[in-house]
This record gives sequence, C-alpha cells and structure tokens, in this order.
Amino acid sequence: MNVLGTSWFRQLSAISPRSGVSIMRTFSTTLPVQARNKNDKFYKILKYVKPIDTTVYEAGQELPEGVKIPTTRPQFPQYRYEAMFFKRQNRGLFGGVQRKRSKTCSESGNKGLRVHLPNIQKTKLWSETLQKSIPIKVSTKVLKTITKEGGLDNYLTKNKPSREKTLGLKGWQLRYQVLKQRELNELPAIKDEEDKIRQVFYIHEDGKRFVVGKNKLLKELYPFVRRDSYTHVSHADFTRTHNYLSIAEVVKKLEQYPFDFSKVTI
Amino acid sequence: MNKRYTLPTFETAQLPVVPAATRKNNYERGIAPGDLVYITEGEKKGTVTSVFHYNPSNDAVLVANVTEKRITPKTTWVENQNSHYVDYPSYLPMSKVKLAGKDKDDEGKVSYVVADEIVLKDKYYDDRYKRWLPKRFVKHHSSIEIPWPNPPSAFEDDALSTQEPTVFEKTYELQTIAKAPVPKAALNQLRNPYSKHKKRVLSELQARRLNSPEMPLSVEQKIYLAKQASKPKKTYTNLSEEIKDFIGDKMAQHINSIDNPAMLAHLEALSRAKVPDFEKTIQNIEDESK
Repeated sequence: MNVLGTSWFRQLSAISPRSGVSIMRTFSTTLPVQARNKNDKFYKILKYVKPIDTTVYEAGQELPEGVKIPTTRPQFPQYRYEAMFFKRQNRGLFGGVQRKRSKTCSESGNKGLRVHLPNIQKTKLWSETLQKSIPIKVSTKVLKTITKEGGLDNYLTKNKPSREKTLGLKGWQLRYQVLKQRELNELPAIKDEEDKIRQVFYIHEDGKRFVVGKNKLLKELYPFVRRDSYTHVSHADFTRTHNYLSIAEVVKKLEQYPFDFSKVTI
Repeated sequence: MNKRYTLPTFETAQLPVVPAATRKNNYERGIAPGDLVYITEGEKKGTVTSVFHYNPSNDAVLVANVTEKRITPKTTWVENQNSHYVDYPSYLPMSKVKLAGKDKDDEGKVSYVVADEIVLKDKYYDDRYKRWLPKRFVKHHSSIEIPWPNPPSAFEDDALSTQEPTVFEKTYELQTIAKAPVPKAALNQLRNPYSKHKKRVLSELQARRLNSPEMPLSVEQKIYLAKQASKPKKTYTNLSEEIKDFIGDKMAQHINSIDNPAMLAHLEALSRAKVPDFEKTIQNIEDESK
C-alpha cells in the first residue's frame, strides 16, 4: 500500500456513507480561470482583456501567418490587463473603477436605465523621477491612493498583482518610463582626469563605463564596418542594419575591431 | 409607358447584370453567333432571326432586325452616317428568345424546330471552332440535335501566322528525369521570387519590431530575486530505512485498528491513486541520487 505520498486524509470526505463504495474526488490540476470567477475583486477588468502575443520572434524564423509587422518598434511592454470596454480607463489612472448602472423610476412607475460614471478629475501629477508634471485624468480614488503611497512614482511602481491589474494601459506605460528613468538615474557621474564631471550612460558586462550614448558609438563603428566590407556600405545602409541594435550590442560589435575604448570610457 | 412614345435618348437600355460568379460564356449557355432564334416577346414576336453576338454580362443577344431608334453622339458615328437619329441594334435578353433549328424535308420545304429548353451533353471536338463543344439537344427529345452553326468568319491565315503542322511538330523530347530541363540559374526568372505562396523568413529588423521591450524590474523584485538566488538549493534525499519502518509501523497500527470494511476499501482505493506531486518528488530524488 502506497501511503507515503498520498494525501489521503484530505480525501476521506469523499466516502459515500450509505453504499460504502469509495468515490475518488478529482481535483482540478489547472489553475482556476480568474477571469471567470465572479468573486474575484477585479472581475470587471479581467472579464474581457485584450489578448497579447507573448511569442518571442527571432530573425530567420518563418514568417508567422496572420501577424502584421508594425512599421516601428513597440515603445512599451505589452500590458496583460488592457480592458476592452469602457475604454477611457486605458487613457487615465482609473484604479479599476467602472461605470455603474441603476434604474430611474418615474412617478408613474416607469423604469429606465441610467449610468453612474466614476468621479474622474483632470489634473497634473508631479513625477519625481521624470522631473515633470504629467497631465492626466485620474479618479479621485486613485488620487487618494497616490497621496497614501507618497507620490505618483510610488503608486506606479508598486509591485502587487492588484496594482498591475488596476493601473490601466496609460499607467503601465508611465510605469515603464519611470522604471527606465530610475535605471538611468542609478548610473553614476564620475570625475575624469581633468576634474570634469562626466555622466556614465552605460556600464558594460566587463565593467567598462561609457560616457557617450549609442549614437556616438555607432558613429565610431561606421568606419570599421565600411572598411570591413568588400562592397560599398553607404551610411543609409549602415543605419538600416545597425540602428536597431542596443548599446550593449554596439559595444560587442566594436570589440571585434581594434577600437580604442579609452576615448569613450572612463 | 410605351417605349414608342418616349423621346429617343443617348442612354442605353439598362439590362440586369448577371453576377460574375454565375456568368456563362456562349458555349456554356448553348448559343453561338450564326444561330437561329425564335423571338417570343416584344415587337418582333414570332419571327426567326439569326444571332450576331452573345453578351455574358447581361445574358442577352444581339439579333438581326431587332433595332431601336437612338440618338448617337457624333463621336460614335460610323462611315456614311449623316444623321444623329439611327436604327441601333438592341440587346434581347435570353428569356425573350428560344433557340431554333432549321430543317429541310425531301421536297425542299423549310421548317423550324423551336426548342423550349436545350440540354448540353456529350462533348466532341469541333474542327470548325478548333475546340471541344457539347452537343445541343431539345430537352426531353434526345433524338433532336441542333448542331452548332458555322463560325461566322473562318480563320484565315496571313503572312505572320504559323501553320498548323509546324505547331504540332515535336522538336524537343525529355530524355531523362535525372537532369532538370531548365537550368537552375534561369529558375528565378521563370518563378516569382516574391510569391505570397513562398515561405518567407523574418529579418532581424522585423523580428525586433514584433518583440516588445521587457518591463524593468522594480527594486522589490530585484531584492526578492537576490534573496531567492542566495538561498541554498533544495536537495532531495530518500527516506532512511529506519524512518520508513517507523511510518510503516504507525500506518499498520492504524489500519489494523479499523474494522469498518467500507473504510478499508476506501483506503485501498486511495492507495492505488496516482499523485503527480508524489511522483515528481520521487523522480527528483532519483535524479539527485544519480
């Protein structure tokens, strides 16, 4: 008898007392679908969200069918909880508040449907990280929460599932901007040999600290690429094939050539 | 309103248009220029005339002697025309005509057979038309065949035309299937390299345009991940014999104390159940011992 692994004590309730025949209770092995659960606090948001494509596409992969290739690179990460109804909630910080319905009743007893819209205010909120005020539509509920959290940035970057669900598309995009800016702000400003303070823009894997951005590195890379090719590489060609690279990839390309990094690093 | 009393106009008669999906050419419809038709409606009702042209988009025919008075703009005038007001051939819808066959008996008396409906069957190669054509029969009278008329203008050879025997002369024969008949370098000129049916692959830029950026980790997430990484890796070890004996004794003691047969049967059934988590743990232990 296999008793070590079975959690049989939990399943004792499955016995049918009258017949004495044992019935196995089956437990669902999949997670309950949150969106269908009406008891879920965020049912109103989750019931119909825009589906997202999580496939990671790679160069050389067969062209996927039915996928439209955008003309520009996406600016923001995909948002899992973009609601597909009451869409104004994607354009401001609504904090999950929805419109409500009720019935009006006339003196003669005729009933008609009406809606109650959430209390939305148009304000400017100061972002400490981005160092600018952001004009945005906010629900008064969210205004209260922002005060409680101690600022817009804290509200946006709080790492809780409920916050992620109620941020809305606009909030999600702001969160990305704030976190990106914070990553940049963490980079140090260092004095160089001439006692001049230089801002570091990128730290490479091997510890090289770059005081120039991607565009200037690409400018350094172009002569090498042009010399490396048997055919003529125009600047337009070079831009087309190198502009999409990240700064880390540009540095890796430069490492393949005899490039003097001392003029761009500190 | 009677058409005879209306003023003539530039406008052409508007015949109903047949949807492109249901359109038939004249051979599929069973009518060809030179055919005789019996007119069943209109001014020329009861007469037999010959067909000039079949129009598939309106399912209508141009026949001899059926015209309407029309004002023609000067741009459309033909040679020797000296008036705007002319007799203009007008289309008759196929619903207003019936195919007719001419028949001569032994005494040379001409009679016509008018087919209420025709049936097309039994394809044969017609040398006059240089194509395969179906035979036309009067419906329910498979003995009465209405032959296709002679094509109005026989094909005439001119200086630039190729003679028939020249076309049919075989000048090239495939000798082996091991060798491709078309050189490989010429294939790209014969085939469409941009065909939508060809498998295409994503370029670097296209792949990057399809992938969205990742959301950077917040401070709390970074702290959590660092903590998880610093934790020692979970190791799986098998139970020692002593512990196994101890648990086994406890279980035996408990089971021996049960005298309800239903409960015993239930426990028996439970012991046979497969628990995925348990199997996974056992698998982990086995992997660890290896």
